[in-house]
Amino acid sequence: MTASAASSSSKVTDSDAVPVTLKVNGKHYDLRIDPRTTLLDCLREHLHLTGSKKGCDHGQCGACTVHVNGRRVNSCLCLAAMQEGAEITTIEGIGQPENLHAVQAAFVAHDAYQCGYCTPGQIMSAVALLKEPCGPDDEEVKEFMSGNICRCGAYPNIVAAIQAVRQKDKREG
Amino acid sequence: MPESAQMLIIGKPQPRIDGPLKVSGGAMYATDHHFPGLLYAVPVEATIANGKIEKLDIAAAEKMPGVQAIFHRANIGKIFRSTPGQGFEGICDERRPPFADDVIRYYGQYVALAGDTQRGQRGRQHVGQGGFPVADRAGG
Amino acid sequence: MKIFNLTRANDPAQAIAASAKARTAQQGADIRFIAGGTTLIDLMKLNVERPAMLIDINSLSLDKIEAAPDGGLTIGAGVRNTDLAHHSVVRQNYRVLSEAILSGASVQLRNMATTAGNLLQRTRCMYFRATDMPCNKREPGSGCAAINGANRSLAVLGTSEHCIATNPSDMCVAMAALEAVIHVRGSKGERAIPFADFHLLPGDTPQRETVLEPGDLITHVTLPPPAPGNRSLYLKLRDRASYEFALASAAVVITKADGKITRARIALGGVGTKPWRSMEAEAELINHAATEPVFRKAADAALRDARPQSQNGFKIELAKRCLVHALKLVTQAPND
Repeated sequence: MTASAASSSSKVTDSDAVPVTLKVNGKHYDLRIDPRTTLLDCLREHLHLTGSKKGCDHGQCGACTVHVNGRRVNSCLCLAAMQEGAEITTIEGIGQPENLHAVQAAFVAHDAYQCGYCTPGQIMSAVALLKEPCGPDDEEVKEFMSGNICRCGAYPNIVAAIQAVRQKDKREG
Repeated sequence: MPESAQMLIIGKPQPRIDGPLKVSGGAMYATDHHFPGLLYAVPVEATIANGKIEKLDIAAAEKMPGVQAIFHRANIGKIFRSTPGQGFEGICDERRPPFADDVIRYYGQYVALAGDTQRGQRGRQHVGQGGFPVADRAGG
Repeated sequence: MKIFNLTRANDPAQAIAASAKARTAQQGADIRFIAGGTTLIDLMKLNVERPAMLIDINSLSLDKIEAAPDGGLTIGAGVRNTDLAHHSVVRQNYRVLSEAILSGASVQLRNMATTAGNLLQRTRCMYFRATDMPCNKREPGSGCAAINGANRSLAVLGTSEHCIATNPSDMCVAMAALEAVIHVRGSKGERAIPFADFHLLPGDTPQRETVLEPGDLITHVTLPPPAPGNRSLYLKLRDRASYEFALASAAVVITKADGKITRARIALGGVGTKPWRSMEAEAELINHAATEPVFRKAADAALRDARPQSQNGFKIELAKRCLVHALKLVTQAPND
C-alpha cells in the first residue's frame, strides 16, 4: 500500500498566478498572486503591512480585522484576488504614532492592551463600531466587540476606551 | 530613590512607551519580520497514522520554483532534544525530536520540511511519500 | 488548500452554465460558488472542501430586499447577513429573523456572509472538519467517529446511525418558523422550494445536505406576509454569552387572542441535523391557553423522538426549557 503526497492536485506553477490591483490605505498595488492567497496573507507577506495579525486564520479571533468598502471583515477569510476595486483600510491607515486616531489614543490612555497582538483588530472593530447601531451601554459594546478575542484579558479597558471615545463624540457631536 | 520620588511612580498610571506602536500596527512580532533570503518552512506530513518511511522521493519537489531546500532525516543534521528544567521533568511533553527515526507514530507527523521563498504548498505537494508499508503494530 | 481556477460570473446564466458541469452540488463539489466565503474558505483551508474551480457571484446583483407582491418580503441571495438583520421591515414584521441572525457569529462575519451562504452553512462537527478522522458526511462509508466520540455539541433530532451532525445556522431556524421559500434557478429553469424541503436528513447519505443539483443558483428567498397580530422571538442558549453556536435555540412565531394561542410556528436549533420545524409542538399550542403547562406539553412533543448520544443527553431537557421560556417571553411581553 502506498500513501500519496498530501495533495495530489494539478501541478502548481507561476502561470497559476492571477493579476489583481489592490487599493490599500489609498495606495494602489499591482500584484500577481496565487489565487489561494487570503487578503490577510497578501497584506502581510506581499505588501509587508504586518499590522493586521494572524491569530487563528479561520475567522474565529478577529485579529485580522480590516475594513473593506467601509465594513469590518475578517481578512483571513477573504481571497485577495476577489478584492479588485475594493477600498481596503488597515490599521496602518487608521493613524500613526505621530498622528493617532481618537480610538488609538484612547487605547493608549486607557491601557487597553497588554501584549498588543489583538490590538490592531480590536481597534479596526472599534473604529467601525462608532458608525454602527450600537446602544449606549457597556453590555452592547461587549456584544458588538465579541468578534475580537483578547487572551491577555484587556477587555474592561478596551470597553472603557471605546466608551470614552463615544462619550466624547456625543458631547462634541 | 527617595521615598517621595517613588510615590510619583508607584500606584500611578504610567503611559506605556510601547502603546503608540501597538495601536498603529508598528510593533513588530516574530512573524512580522521580512528580510532578504527569508524562507518559509512548509512541513510534509504523514498521511498514515502508523508505519515506516521506506523512501522519500524529493526530486520533483526540489525542482519547484521557489523551493530552496528539502530537509529530511538524512540531511538535516542532529536535532537535540531539550531537557526539562529541574522540577519540570513531568511536564516536557515532546521527548522525541522530529526526524529522530523512520517510524511514523501519528497522522500528520513531519516526514520532511520544504524551505520555500513563498508561504504555500508548492514544494509540499510534490514530495512523494513513497512506499509506506502497512507496518501496523496494532495487528490490523 | 488545493489550487483552484478563480472565475467571476457577470450574470446568473453564466454562473449556472459554468456550475452545471460540476460532478455534484453536495460535499466534495469540484465547482463552487463563492460569495462571502466565510464557510467555504474556512473549509478549504482544512482541505474538507477542495473545489477545482470557484465562481465569484458577488457581481450578480442579488443583493436587494424588496416588498413582494403578496405583501411578503423578497430577500436577494447575496444580501449580507448584517443588512438583512437590520432592515426595518425585517425588524418590524419578522423580528425572529433579525434576532436569530444577530445572535450568530460576529459583526465581521455577518458583514461578509450572505443569505444563500447561510442557508448552506456546514456543520461544526470536529470530525467532519478533520480530514484524518472517519466521517460519513465527508467521506461516505468511512464511519462516524462522533457517535462514540466527542458529541456534546451534536444532534439529538433527525440523527441516523451514519451521522449525528448538527446544523449550526441560526438564520435557518427563524426561516423555518417563518415558512420561507427558497427560489432557485438552474439548468432547467426556476423553482420554488418550501423551506422544510430544502435541507435533507442525513439518513444513509449524510454527504447530501440539500436538494440542490449542479447548476442550481439560489437567487432569492421569500417570506410570506406576516401573520396579523403575530409576535416572534429567537432564544439562543450556549456556553458563552456571544460568538458561539447554540446548544439549543428556539424560534417562535405566535398569534394570541383572548389568552388563547390562535397560530403557532415553532422551530428549534442546536439540536437537529437540519433546521428543526416542530409541527408536533404547534399542534399542542394552537387553540390552547398560553400557560406554562401547555408550553411544557408542546416542548415534550417537540423532543419526543429525540435520541441522546453519550455526551449530549442534557440537550433534550435544555431544548424543552428553551422552548418553554421562549413561549413565556413571547406571550407575556407587552406590545411595543
